Amino acid sequence: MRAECWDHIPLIRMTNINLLPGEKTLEEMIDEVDDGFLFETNRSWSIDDKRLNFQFATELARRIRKGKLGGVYRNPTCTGITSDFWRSCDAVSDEESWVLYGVLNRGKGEPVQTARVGQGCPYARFRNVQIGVLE
Amino acid sequence: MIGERKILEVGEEALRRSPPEETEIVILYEESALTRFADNTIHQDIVVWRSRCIVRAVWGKRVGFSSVTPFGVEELRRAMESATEIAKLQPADEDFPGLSEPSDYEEVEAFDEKTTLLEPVERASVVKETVSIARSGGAIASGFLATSLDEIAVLNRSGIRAYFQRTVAEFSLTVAKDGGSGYEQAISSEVDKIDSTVLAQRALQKALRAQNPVEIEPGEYTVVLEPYAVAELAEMLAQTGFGGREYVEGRSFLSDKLSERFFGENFSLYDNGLSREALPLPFDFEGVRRRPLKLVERGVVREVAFDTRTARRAGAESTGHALPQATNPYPIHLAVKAGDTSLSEIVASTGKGLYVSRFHYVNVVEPMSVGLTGMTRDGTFIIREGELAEAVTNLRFTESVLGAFSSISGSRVRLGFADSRR
Repeated sequence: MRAECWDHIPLIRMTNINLLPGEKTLEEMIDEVDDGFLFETNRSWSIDDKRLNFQFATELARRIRKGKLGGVYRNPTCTGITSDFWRSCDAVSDEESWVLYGVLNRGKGEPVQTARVGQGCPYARFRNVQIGVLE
Repeated sequence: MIGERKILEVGEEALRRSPPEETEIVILYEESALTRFADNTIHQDIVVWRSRCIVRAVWGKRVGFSSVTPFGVEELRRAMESATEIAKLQPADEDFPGLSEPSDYEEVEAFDEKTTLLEPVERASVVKETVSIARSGGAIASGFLATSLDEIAVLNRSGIRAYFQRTVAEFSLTVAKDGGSGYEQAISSEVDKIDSTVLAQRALQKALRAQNPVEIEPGEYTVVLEPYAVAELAEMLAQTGFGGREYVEGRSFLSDKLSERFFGENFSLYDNGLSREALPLPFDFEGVRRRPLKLVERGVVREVAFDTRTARRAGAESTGHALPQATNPYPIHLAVKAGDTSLSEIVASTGKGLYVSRFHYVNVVEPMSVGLTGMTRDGTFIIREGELAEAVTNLRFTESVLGAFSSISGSRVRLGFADSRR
């Protein structure tokens, strides 16, 4: 339970949601991909009211063909259903690539309160994800 | 309520004690009350009295901010000291034009005494009737009723002494039953202008109609959007494209393109902070007189919201749209110009399409084309042979608003929906 300030009621909210690192290096994970993309730097997000359908977009994506990084694409998007998406995760990278990210102003409640939250993650690989590119 | 005389007295005394030549004080005070309910039960009832004072200190071309919550001369003096120390550590801001000069403001009335005096038992009575209506249909109601009194003041050493008070009442409601839901919302400066009974009945009917939704194929559809959905898209359009900072930095789709046509002739978008229907504020947070804007006039982009800093960079005058603490200026009193076709006529003339009540979690995917994504919610229906037919499961759209608002036909638009089936 956290409150934004002494004059706000406490709300149930997350503090730090972390993905534990795995065993493979990022290079090993990419090497195992025959045809895919490396998405980098999140820029937008949208979820449904049940937190099932989602769509995220990143600044850019790099093509992966036969384990090699290739050309850059702008405005890539990925979408899916939360439970199916996470079930398709078949690799996470090791501690070397684990980074603690965070958001300063996660909003919740009525009246709205903002709070800092943290998300520490390595790279993660997901199979059969629906992606797109916004022209 | 603190009152105009007291607020200005304290502000003036604090200014007299301020060390730098240029100092600006923004005083925000609210007395608000909220009754929130979920699953047909009140679960939160709060009253808040809160002040927040933001001080801007200018040291040459160096600018610093500090804010405090207690309202008093000594508290403001300490905030000024802090803002001054911060200013001394900043690099010079060559684009800073100096603090604003006094001007006259429009006379605007937005105060309703009854709204300030609404007691908890009266708010609860509204909720009780709302829940009763939901229960009559076997549904559950969730939402809130909130009222507030806002006092806003801006003072500076150049002589600005701006004060405004307004009341706000807001009612928000979602009624849900067996997978169907309906949503209604109303906001006004007068609580008596909100007819919660009518809103609750409409939300219930929508929820009952939205039960047993079917899945449809993703694709492009002609859609009829309720005002809630149009408002969401218009707000994102305004924030993405019509802010002064985005405009001068080349990050807006209309940078250097004012007076060009981007939309159909049937789309006009205005910003009017002097309208009582828009929760008015006759000056901005630099004390500049707020000016109504024609953002889009019959499809042609005309104006952008500026504060003093972005106006200087654009070689223009401030439009009176500064936000607290020099946050990027945006139009915040939007209105889409109404047409002359009734909703029933629009649906009847649609033939085949989708009726969208509302969007959820709309976010920007690509700002230069105002590319947005979001989900439908709280009632999406097939339109077949000009009539509302079965409800459909919620759909995701990813679309450029520039494109959508260019294809308005009799107040309908075309949107593409992605596969969002579970």
